[in-house]
Amino acid sequence: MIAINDIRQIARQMQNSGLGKIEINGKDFSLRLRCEGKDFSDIQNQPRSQTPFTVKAAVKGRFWASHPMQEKSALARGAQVKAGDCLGFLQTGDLMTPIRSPQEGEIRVLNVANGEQVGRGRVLFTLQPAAQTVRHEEAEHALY
Amino acid sequence: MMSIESLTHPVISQLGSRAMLFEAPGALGLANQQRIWALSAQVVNWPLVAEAVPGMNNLMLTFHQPPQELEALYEALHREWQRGEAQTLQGRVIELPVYYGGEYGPHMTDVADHTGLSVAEIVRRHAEPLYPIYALGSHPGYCYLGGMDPSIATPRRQTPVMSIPGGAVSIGGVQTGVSASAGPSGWNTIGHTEYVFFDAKASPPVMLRPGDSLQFRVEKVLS
Amino acid sequence: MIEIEKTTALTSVQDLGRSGCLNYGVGRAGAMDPLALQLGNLLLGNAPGAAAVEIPLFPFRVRFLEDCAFAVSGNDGDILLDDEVLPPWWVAQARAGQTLTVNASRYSARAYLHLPGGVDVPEVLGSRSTQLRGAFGGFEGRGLQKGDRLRAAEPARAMKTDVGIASPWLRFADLSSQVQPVRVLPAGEHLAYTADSRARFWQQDWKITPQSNRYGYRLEGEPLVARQTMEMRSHGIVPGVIQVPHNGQPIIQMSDAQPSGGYPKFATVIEADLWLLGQIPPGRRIRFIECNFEQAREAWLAQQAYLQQVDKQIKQLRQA
Repeated sequence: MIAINDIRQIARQMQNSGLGKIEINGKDFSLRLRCEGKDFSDIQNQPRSQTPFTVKAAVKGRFWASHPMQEKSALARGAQVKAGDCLGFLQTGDLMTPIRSPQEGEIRVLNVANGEQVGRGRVLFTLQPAAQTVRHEEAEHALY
Repeated sequence: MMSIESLTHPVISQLGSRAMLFEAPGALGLANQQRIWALSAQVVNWPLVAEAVPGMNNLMLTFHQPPQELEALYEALHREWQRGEAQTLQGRVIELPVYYGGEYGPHMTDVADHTGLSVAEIVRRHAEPLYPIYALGSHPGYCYLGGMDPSIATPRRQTPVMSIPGGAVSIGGVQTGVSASAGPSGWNTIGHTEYVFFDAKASPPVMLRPGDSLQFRVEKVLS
Repeated sequence: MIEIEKTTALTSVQDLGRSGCLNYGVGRAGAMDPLALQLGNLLLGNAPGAAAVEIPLFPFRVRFLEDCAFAVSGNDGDILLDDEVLPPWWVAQARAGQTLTVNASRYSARAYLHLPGGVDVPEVLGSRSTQLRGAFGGFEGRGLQKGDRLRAAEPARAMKTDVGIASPWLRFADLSSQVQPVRVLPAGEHLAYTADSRARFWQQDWKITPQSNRYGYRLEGEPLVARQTMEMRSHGIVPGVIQVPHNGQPIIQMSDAQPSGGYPKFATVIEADLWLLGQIPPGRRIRFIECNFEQAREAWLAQQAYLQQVDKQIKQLRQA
């Protein structure tokens, strides 16, 4: 994450130099600022966490990528999911529990096959966390 | 396959695995029905039996679970029947005024065609007997009656009718009866009467029971 | 409490049916899929025979007037709570103001909507099932219509939601079959038909015609021919009995069957397969498979064991 003071410094430099637009992609952040005269628009400050997170089987069971009674396509690599979205199902005996994503992200790896028996703790999905866009008003407040 | 009328021994058959039908042999009649009432009163107390439902000289049993020893059950029923117990039920006589024929009897002409009798003669033979109530069934409050003159018997219809009204007086095979409410029927409707046979809120919900008798009174014969 | 927003008059309140009233001429009525009824109830922690809403046509829509847990069983189509898609055979929490839509499914004809404690309608003659002929029981003795409001017997009961059960179709039916096999036990008059008719009863596919409903399924196929005309004496019957009227086209008596009848009977669908039969929509075909008494009994016992097993798993989940 780039520090707020650093953003202010860059912003001042832009105002002083007349630079209209700047976009910086760092190792763990990306920053974009657009400046017209003294006013800033299009402020985006995105931390880019590189740590993927996993979704694991809470109990032993059979993994279903989609509900066995419905013909829906399973989620594929690259699918964007929101926190709480159902990624699949775990069947234990006659019970079905949903596998829900704890946070927003993008599916990177499908670690199990449809219908596979899994043990408790087995990694089912690997996801890349979503970028978190700082709201325009928050960023503006930080600058002025 | 011989009809039950020509047999001397009862016939027992399965209705799935949780119900069974016991059919009394010989001619359809009150003597047999009294034996069926007695049989029903006995077997309803057997632990396996959920319900004992008399029909026209027959008895359907339903069970809580599919019985384990089917053969033993068949034998027990035969033994009970052979004891020859009969239950004479003394009941009331209820008179029902009937409008015969015309719009009230849409199938009167079918009965006339089949029997070769005139409408007036059909009405006379239908209204003459005292009809003992053998059993209730078919729909709420409906009474199966015995004692119809076989000369006015008319087979059940090729295709059942989607709806005949409550109060419809009909002939099906050798039997006659009065509908207690509107519904589908395969019988031949020859007339109409007004009577409340069933009230879900009453206890018991039925007004008539086996042992009572119905007398049809000719109110009017329409052409 | 829920308010009906979209329905047909064929939707009705049903439980496991009315027993002990055959001698009044009152038939069982009850759910066409008694397995789904019990399973959905178990999911909600209800008594297995509690009343639910049986839905045979779709889409069906209700609005929740208060916060309420609910379950939908029987169906495998899309179930929408507002915009959220719920899996089938699922228990979920609804908030006041939310709309539930149940849509048609690939395999099942009927869905059941369950409320906590069961649908709260008066018990009539020992049951909450709707008795259409006679117009009593269930919701005012009739099918549901737009604007009707139904209460849950225990609306505030807290429970575990966002969980479901694996459909019994996965265990007991062949999803790939276009023609579902249905097991039957021969009945009293099955030998009274010509040898050719008897063979065809087992060999041919029978189509469930559009004239089929809760009273009975009218089948279409090459007609069965009796060796002699039979005039039967009226006798008690049960759902599953396959009658053959004069035209030779069988009628399978279903949940709203009359408690007695007088047509010859070829066979009776076994109790363990009634749920499956109740879920096959008009237009599809079935085939009859002969089984013996022992097999019918085994099938019934297996189904009871399955219900107990599911009940146990759900109770364990609640305690966890």
